[in-house]
Amino acid sequence: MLGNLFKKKDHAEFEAVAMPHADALYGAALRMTRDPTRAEDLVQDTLLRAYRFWHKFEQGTNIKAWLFRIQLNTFINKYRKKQTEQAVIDDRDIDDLLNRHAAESSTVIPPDTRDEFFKKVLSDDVLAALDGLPFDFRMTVILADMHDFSYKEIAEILECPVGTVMSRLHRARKLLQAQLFTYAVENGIIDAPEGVTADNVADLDAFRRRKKKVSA
Amino acid sequence: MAMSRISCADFCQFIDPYLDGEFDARDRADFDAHAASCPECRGRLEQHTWFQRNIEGHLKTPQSLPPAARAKLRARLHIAQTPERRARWVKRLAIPVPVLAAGAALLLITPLTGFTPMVDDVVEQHAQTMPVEVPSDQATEVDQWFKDKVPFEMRAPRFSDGHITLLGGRLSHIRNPEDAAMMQKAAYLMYGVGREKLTVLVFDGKQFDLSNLGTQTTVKSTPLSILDRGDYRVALYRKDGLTYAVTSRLPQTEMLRLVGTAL
Repeated sequence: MLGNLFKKKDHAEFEAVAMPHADALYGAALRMTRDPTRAEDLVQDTLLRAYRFWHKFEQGTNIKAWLFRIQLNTFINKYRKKQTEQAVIDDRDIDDLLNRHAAESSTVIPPDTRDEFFKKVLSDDVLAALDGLPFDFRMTVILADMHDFSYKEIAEILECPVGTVMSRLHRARKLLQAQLFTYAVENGIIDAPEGVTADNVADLDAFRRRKKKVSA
Repeated sequence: MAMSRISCADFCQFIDPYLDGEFDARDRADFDAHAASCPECRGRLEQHTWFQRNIEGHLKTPQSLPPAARAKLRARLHIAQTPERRARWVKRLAIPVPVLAAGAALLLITPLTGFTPMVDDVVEQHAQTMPVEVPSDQATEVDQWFKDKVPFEMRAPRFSDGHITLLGGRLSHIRNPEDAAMMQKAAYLMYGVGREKLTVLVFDGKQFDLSNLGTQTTVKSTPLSILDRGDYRVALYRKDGLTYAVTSRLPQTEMLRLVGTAL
């Protein structure tokens, strides 16, 4: 019942059911905000809002997906105005970037160098590459690869069709591969395949800079 | 060797759902058959599998909410635990703090179940403990502050009752009924009624059909829609082209009596 919202039983239930997800929410918030202080604020706002609307949570449904949905809404509402990156780059741009630079063929990492690749590419490098993705793409990777949500759950959290999830994830992973490949070539971790130069690998930052220059 | 039922283009396009276990057994078998018969796609699959396995290992590095943040969160949840505690908290934060107010962020709710989004917005904002941006008990002064901040001529309700006191207002937003992602500007007013808080959200809400909301009643010839949301009651009405959403935890009869003094 709605009137029971703040009773002790509900409080205990919230503690037992929702609070164990605080760390997972924080992990996602770090990647969403790219700032530890803002991530802490986001998790606090998320869980307080979840607490306030605890009566709306249907027992037996996916609590983690429900909390992530609230966190995403909170983030969009609170930080919407601060998000400028989406105005700079959108889905079509990503396609242009991937097509123009033939990301797939230029980022084949030879099997004999694979062992070395992830020994030298560190977690921080991977996270930096993830942080560089446009928000919608980054969010899909956060939900799928950090938190193992199914496509259907991701679609519900992001409020978009499953097909959109699949397409965003596909392109996000290709971009991530391309970004890390570029990083590995630039840092001498692997040799650039024949015909591949710094100009024809998919460098998202360089692409953003070019776009800004054109639109200025 | 069996002929592949899928093309290389399909294989490339659907390699992610295949790896993520999104396929049923039959689709999976088709994919396996194609990989077995096509060295190029097998190479793609190997690289993709290798990459995903490794990248997920890096991405899944566990993170813990710092102890200080966790303690702060528990304290805030504790405060919100009972209506009594909440009321004291609201009362404390209702003290106008203009400096803090200037930087205050607005937090709006998106409904998770089938409630009317506009009413959810109203209740959510009432439940928020955000300070006012214009601390004043003078309705004309508050109206003046909203000039050029909202796209309508603001007129705060004039409650003619000695028990209700205007505390101030702040700029707010409410979701557009035609597009939930869009916000429209609104004026948020906070009043004190004894120990209770009463808020009024004022907006140009001609697109909202109030006649379909909640229970319909009439006070001083003005149609009112009354809704209950948990502990809260919301009364909605239109006056002089503006929509007013009054929210409080007061009993319905007391709410309607107060609203009546402003009509």
